[in-house]
Amino acid sequence: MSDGSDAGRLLAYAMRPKLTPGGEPTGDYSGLVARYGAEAAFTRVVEEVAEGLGLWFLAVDPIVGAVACAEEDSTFAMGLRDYARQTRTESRVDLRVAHGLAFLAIARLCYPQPNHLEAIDRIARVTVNDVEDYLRRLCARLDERAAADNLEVDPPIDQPLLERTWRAFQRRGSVARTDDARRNSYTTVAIVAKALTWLVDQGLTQKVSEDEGGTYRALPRFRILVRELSGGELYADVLRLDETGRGEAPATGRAG
Amino acid sequence: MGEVSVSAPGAEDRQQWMAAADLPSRDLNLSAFTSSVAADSLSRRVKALACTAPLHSLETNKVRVADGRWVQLNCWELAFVAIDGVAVAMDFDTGASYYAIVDLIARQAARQDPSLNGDEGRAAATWVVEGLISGRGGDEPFHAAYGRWDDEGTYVHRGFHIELLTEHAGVDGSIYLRASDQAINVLIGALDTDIESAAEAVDAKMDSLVRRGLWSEAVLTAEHARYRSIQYAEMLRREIVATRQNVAEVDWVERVPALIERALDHVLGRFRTERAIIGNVTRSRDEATEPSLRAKASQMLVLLKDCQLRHEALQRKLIGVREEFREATRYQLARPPARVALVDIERQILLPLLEAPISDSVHPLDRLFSRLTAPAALVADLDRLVELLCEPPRDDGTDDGDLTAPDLTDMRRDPRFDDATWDAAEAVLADVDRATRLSALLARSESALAPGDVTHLVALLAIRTVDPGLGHRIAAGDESVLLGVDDGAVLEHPRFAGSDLLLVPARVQRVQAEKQAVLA
Repeated sequence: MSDGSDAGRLLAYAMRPKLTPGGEPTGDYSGLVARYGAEAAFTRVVEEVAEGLGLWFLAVDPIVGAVACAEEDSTFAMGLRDYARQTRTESRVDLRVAHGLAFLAIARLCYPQPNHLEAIDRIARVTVNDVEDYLRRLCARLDERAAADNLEVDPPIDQPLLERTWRAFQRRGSVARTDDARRNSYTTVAIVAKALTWLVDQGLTQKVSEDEGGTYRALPRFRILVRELSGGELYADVLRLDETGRGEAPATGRAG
Repeated sequence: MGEVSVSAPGAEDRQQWMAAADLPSRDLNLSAFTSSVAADSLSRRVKALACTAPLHSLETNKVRVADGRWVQLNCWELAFVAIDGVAVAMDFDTGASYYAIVDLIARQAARQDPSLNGDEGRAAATWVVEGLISGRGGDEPFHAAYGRWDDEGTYVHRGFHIELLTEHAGVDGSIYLRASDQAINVLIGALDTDIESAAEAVDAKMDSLVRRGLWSEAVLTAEHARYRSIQYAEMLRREIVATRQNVAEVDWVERVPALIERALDHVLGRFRTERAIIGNVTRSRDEATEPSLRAKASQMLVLLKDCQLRHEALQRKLIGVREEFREATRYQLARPPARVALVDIERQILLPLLEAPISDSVHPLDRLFSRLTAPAALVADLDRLVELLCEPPRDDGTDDGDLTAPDLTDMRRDPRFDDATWDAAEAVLADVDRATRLSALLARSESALAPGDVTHLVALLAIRTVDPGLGHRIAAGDESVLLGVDDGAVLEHPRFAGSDLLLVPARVQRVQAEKQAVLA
């Protein structure tokens, strides 16, 4: 078997996140993961093939397997617009942000302390209600702080995109009923529930029960992803926020 | 009560004073409670008691769940069954399967309340197991506080996390349960004991019991010894896990080898004593004439054999443990040194994003989502795709969600023509460089080595040329437009009927001054 076809197979495994090499130490997947770690030449081939497809490896782990991400312009990439159809139009940035926050809050509750991100034996648990409560409490805290500091946080009426992120989340209802009694998909509880269900499909969580709006356990793959992203790209993104100056938004001006 | 006045004691006061004189001094010697020994004892007892809190909370809450149908259950007992079951199933690499434990408790629940069987029993059992699992990141219900005296004698509060059952990931990706040391200590009633000294005590007890022929007592002791083996195995497993995380943190020169030595001594001691008991119990079973005695002896033998298996498993692990350690070291060394910083997600990421305007926070959040989603999720996950396609249109809600309007923008259908067909058909039309009959184009597209139903698409596109939407095309900056003219000729074709259009390519000429476009 050539390096090229081995590299292709490793990438194919990376596209099936629910598959892990751990169960079969002598299996094909395990063999490829071991080669990736041990042979520099093979690592290079794999990374070149991935790059050609607009993919890159976040981690290749003997238990979890290959964790790959798609570049934004790759055909394999999927964004929040594809995930929540209602957010497709440009004007629904607020809704897209709410969906994104759900994922971040789940990560925080699974790994509340930095060292949890390294704890390879830790299986965290998280529930829909916990995540929703947690975000609400954070938002309330920011609200209180803004009130104490007398900050004007409402955006100018013609610049809705300057709305503060926490406000965009906070003003959504927790729960609401539609006319036909389905769960309303715009509420924060539904947004969090959708996120956790999505993570199940991505091999990142497992559903335990319906308790607390849905109880899930976070799998090792999720820990690796969160560790790499929170300490890398995402953190850089947040630092860049500071550079562009959150303070520059006219909304931060002191009132009174 | 007021202070006792020494200068002018009233009669009543004096009486109280005298009565108090018979009692031990009120001025307690506080140092007796602040010595390190006493303080250790206090905190150990508080911790031991705290370990039972989750069990009490199950027992207390049973009336509030399931509409009171579980009132008849004894949740303490069910919790002990769960911890027993998990501890006994624990071996070196895995633990108890979640579902096996749920089944075990469900059977016990059905014994307690025969009306609870099947799904109801399993629901109760699941509730009990969930109540014993710790590790949720939100509000930790498994938390207790105790106090200690520091070196200066000041009382300080400390927090303490209780763990009874914990979930772990197996190498094969499965999830299993393990019982913590705390749980095993609570379970076997050896609260606040040192594992080594307890093991010795068990040894001495066992010897004398075997000598005196008290088999049932001896079996109980053997059972305790089994838990010791489980605890040793668990201690070793944790060292291996710690080694995988950070090889520098584990003392593999002195501490762990000493632990292995002690565990080996324990196992060998167990083998000797238990072989003796098994011999004695087997003899009394064979000699017993009374059936009930025989049955009891047989039961004991089953249990003793299980204890032996447990010790054997530990012994096997102990022999292989150094190899496991080398393997764990290799794993740790093979991983590149921590490339990323470990961050506090709330403080360093979540809060700054929440405070940012949505125009700034949307991109990082969108990217986070993309990264969490495996490449090609939409394509690979057929189930999800089908679900997406079949989903009823959603209500386009306002924030309060009560207004409903059908979302008609995205009713997906498989395209009638695939991309390759479109490409081929458009190429046929693009090739028209002088006035050409539709019949000629159709013939051309049929002869072309084209995929799909190119001819059909060419015919449809030709209809569009009759009214190509000139204004729109010019505004879009098209260089040329294909115009279809119906001059009365009739199309003769096996599949299509109508006019044999004359397709004329027209170039768009822009007249800058008037900002107009004319067709040449």
